[in-house]
Amino acid sequence: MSQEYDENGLNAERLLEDEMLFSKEVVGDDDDLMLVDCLLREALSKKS
Amino acid sequence: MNLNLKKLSDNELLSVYLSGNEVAVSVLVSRHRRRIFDYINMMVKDRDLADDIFQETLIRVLRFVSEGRYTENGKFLSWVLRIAHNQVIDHFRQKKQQNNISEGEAGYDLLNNKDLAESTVEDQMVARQIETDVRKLVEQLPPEQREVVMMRYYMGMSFKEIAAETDVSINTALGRMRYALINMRKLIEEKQLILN
Repeated sequence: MSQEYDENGLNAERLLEDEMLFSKEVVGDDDDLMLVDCLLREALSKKS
Repeated sequence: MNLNLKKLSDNELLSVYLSGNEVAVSVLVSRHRRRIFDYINMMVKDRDLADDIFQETLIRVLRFVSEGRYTENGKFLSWVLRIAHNQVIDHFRQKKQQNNISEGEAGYDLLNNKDLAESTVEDQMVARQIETDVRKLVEQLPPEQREVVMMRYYMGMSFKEIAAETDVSINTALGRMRYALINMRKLIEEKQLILN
């Protein structure tokens, strides 16, 4: 990991690693699941 | 000049860019290019397409920065990755719309709703209704799938954290998420959600 941009810290690295896992192991070749993922993000991410 | 720029943080580079030095953006792009591109390519599995989406992402990022819409200090890469993710989602929506043009005539197809990506004020009521419906569908998932969905989307936990919290392997957590999404799609299709 580059030391040049500590401000992004581990959060960005973790996000990237996690999204890679999600893309590879959860979505796979099923494009529709990306859209379901998007719906869930939009519906559930607001902590209202 | 460039050597000095390379030592600056992302936010410092953005400030330099906003003060009129466009070289700062080149440094910023070059710093994160591989991560952003790999992320997009992992999702679309097509290098040419990934390159197109990467360019679109950059254009959007620069526009947002110029408009003062980047406010997440210290989380630049995370912010860019979310924009890249949305660009990829737009691509899949457009692709699906092209494949199913006639289906939209029957009503409001959740999976084809491109407006969700670029919500305007007039879409907000519809968007709220969609959110309510999606939450109701989540409640119909089997408990272990509902749990992983809520942990990821509502609580913002990573799969590693979810696996640790639920005392299962990371592969099990990922598998539950996959089945949750497949079941959600099935429910959306079964319910034929028509919202207008």
